[in-house]
Amino acid sequence: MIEDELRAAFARHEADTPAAGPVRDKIDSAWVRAKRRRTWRRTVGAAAVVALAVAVAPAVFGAYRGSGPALPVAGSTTAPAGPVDVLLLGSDHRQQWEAGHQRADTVMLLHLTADRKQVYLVSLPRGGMLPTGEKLNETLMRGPAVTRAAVQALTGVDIDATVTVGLPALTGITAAVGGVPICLKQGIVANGGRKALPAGCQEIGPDEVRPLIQGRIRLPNGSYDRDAHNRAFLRSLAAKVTADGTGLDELQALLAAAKNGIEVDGDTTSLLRLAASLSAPETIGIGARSAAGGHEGSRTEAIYPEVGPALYTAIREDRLAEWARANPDYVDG
Amino acid sequence: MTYEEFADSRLSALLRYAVMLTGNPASAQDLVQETMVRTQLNWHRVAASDAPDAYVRRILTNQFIEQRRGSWWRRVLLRADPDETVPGPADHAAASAERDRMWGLLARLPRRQRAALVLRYYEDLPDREIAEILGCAVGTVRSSISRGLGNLRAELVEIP
Repeated sequence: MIEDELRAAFARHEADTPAAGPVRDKIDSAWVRAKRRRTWRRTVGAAAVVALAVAVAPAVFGAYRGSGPALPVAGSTTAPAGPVDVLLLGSDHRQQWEAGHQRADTVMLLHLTADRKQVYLVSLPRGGMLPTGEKLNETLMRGPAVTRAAVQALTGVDIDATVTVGLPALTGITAAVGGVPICLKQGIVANGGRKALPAGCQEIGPDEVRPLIQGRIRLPNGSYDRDAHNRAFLRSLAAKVTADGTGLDELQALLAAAKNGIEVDGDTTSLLRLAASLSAPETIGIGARSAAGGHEGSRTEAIYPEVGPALYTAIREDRLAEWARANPDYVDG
Repeated sequence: MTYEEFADSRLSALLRYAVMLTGNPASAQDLVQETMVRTQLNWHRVAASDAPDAYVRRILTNQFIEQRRGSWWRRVLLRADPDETVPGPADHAAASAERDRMWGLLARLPRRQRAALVLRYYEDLPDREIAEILGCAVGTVRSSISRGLGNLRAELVEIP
C-alpha cells in the first residue's frame, strides 16, 4: 500500500527535525529585528497622515470631526504655535525600509507659515554636495535621522518632523482620491519597467504614480524636472483632497492607504492636532530649475549656491512670501 | 495563552511538520522561523482565534505553498545536495535506497499535493481540517490527495 509507504517515509524522516532550542533562539533574534522595524513604522502609524498632513489632512480631520469615528489621537498636547517645518523624504528603494539600503530621490522641506495660510514645498536637489563632502541623497543610506541632521546643518532650520514616504503609500492615496490631475510640460519616457507619460494635462491614477514620481531619464533637467513633478503632484493631491466633493469614504480609504507606507519621526500627536486645525492652506512650490555648480551627478553639483543663505534665512524667519516675490525664477507657476 | 507558552509547547511539532513539507532540516528551520516571526507580529489575532495551533499551521502552510521559484528557501532546496537530507536512524544501507525513493518522489510533487499528503498521512487530520489549513474546499483536498497518491504510484511503477 502506497499510503503505508508514505507513512513509513514520514516516520523515518522525523529524525531530521532540528532541535527546538537553537531554533527558538534564532526566532527570538529575528523577532527583535522585526519588532524594531515595526516600532519604527508604528511610531508613525497614526501620524502617517502627517505625511500629507500639512497639505492634505484638514479635510480628513474635518470629515472625522463631523460624522466619523473619534480622532485617533491620544494625550492633550496642543497643536504647535509658530511655523512648522517637516522634512519629506522619498526613498528610492521605496519598499525597502531598512537603513543602509535606501537613498532619497526626493528631499523636500515643507514649511507651514505661522498664520497657517500657506505651505511651501521647497525641494533640495538630491545630488547636491553637502559641506561634509557627501551628496545629500547618500545620507539616507545611514537612515532618515542622518538626512535630517544634514538638512538641519545645511539650512539651520529646526525640523519638527521627518516623514519618509514610500511609493505604495502614494499609489494607495492616489487610488483613494480617485486620481490626481497634473499637466506635464514634457513627456516622460518609459524606463526601468515604468510606462511613458505624454506631455500635457492628464489624470494620474495609481498606475501612473510611479512613472511620474520616479521618471527623470531624458528630461531636459533630469532630477530637477522630477522634483518639479513631485511638487506639482503633491500640490494637486492637496487641492484634490481639500476640494469639496471628496467624500468620507474616500478619505477613510486615504487614511488607510497612508498608514501603511509613511513613516514619521517627530511629535506626531501635536502634528495631528495641527493638521486637524488647518483649513486648506495655499501650497507653493519652490525649486531650482537646473543643476548649479556642476552638471547633475557630478561631485561639484551644488545646493542653492547663490540663493541658499537668503532662502534658508527666510524659512527660519517665516518670511518665505517675501523671498518668493524677490526670486520668482525659483517659484513654480 | 502567551506567545511563549505557545512556542514552548508547539515549536517541536511545527518543526516536524515543516520537515515533512520541505524535506530538509535547513529549509524547515527557515520556514518555521519566518512563520514564528509572523505569528508574533499577529499574536493578538492568533491568540483570539479558536484554534491557535491550526492558525499558525495555516500561516506556515501558506508560506510553503506560496513561495515561488527564486525565493529564499527554494534556493536552499535547489542548492541542497541530496546528502543534506540526513537519513533516518533506521536506515540500513540496503534498504535505504529503496526507502528514500519515496522521499525523493515527494519532493517532485506540486506543493499543494505534498501539503495535503503530509496533513493526511503524517498529521492524520480529517479532510475538513485539511481544507481549513489549505484554505480550500473539502472536495479539493480529496482530489489533491488522490492526485498526489496517483503521481507517486505512477513514479514508483515506472522505476522498478
